[in-house]
Amino acid sequence: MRGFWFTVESVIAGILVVTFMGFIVTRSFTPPEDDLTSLAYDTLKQLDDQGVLRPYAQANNYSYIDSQVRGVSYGHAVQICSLSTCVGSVPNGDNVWVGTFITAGNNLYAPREVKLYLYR
Amino acid sequence: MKGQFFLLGALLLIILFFVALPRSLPTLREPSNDLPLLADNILREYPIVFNFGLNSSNQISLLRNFTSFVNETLADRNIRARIFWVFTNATSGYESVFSSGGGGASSTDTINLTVGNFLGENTSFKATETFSTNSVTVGDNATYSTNLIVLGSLFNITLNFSRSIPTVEWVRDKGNLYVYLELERGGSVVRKELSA
Repeated sequence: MRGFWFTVESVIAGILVVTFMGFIVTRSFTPPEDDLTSLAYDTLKQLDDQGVLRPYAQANNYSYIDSQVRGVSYGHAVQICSLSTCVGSVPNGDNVWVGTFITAGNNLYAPREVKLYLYR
Repeated sequence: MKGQFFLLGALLLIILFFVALPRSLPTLREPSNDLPLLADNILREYPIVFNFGLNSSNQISLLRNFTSFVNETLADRNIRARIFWVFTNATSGYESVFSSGGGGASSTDTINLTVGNFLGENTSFKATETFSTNSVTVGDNATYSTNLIVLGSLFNITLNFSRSIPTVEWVRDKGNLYVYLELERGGSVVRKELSA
């Protein structure tokens, strides 16, 4: 009977070791996640090229800019910051990426930092 | 029965390891490869600020203010920005000189050249144009203005300061701007220049 339990123990120990090693090896060879910072920046730049970003950043209208973010298959939120204050929301989550776009102003000097958060 | 307890203990430790692992991952990600994007973005904005200043005749204060805005915005993200800019404007002043050769008269215009040093250190600056050279040491967070005489509607000027020695071709009768930008975070450094 003693030999039987030794066998069971060794099988369980083997399963644990193989599982652990498998986990480590899988993590080592998993390709890095996409860089969503570039995607966030490109999205903001595209909005600026379309003339959508600058006037609404100057007006601190973060919800309108957020509504214009299209073609992105992730959750998104927009925040607009001047030196003194920020408006908009910062999402909570385990995987949140942020891209930043700085604008000097639209029809007058009014510098803003527009942050686009992308999250899963 | 001792072995079973060791096994249970090991199992418990592994379960704890798997449970705790996701919590150790950062929640907000911002890789260092965003520096070139930010540098491009900032350099594109400087001519816009310069034009706002042209319209309201307060280029120096707007460029200073925007530089502070960039510095403070990036400092929140552990990015160190070093910025140096030079711009010229045609002044209303006009002065004639006589050419040394044939007695005919030609005219030159005086341009106003302004330097802004936000490199985080004092820097020597030398502007060399065909007819004039101007050397000065510009303190950190300081600006310096001088007049230069140029001949012809297009002129080449060499701007020599501690980080770079660019030669740019500028137009006498319009505003010209040169910006040097260096962004640093950790071991990553991006250097870019713009002449407009």
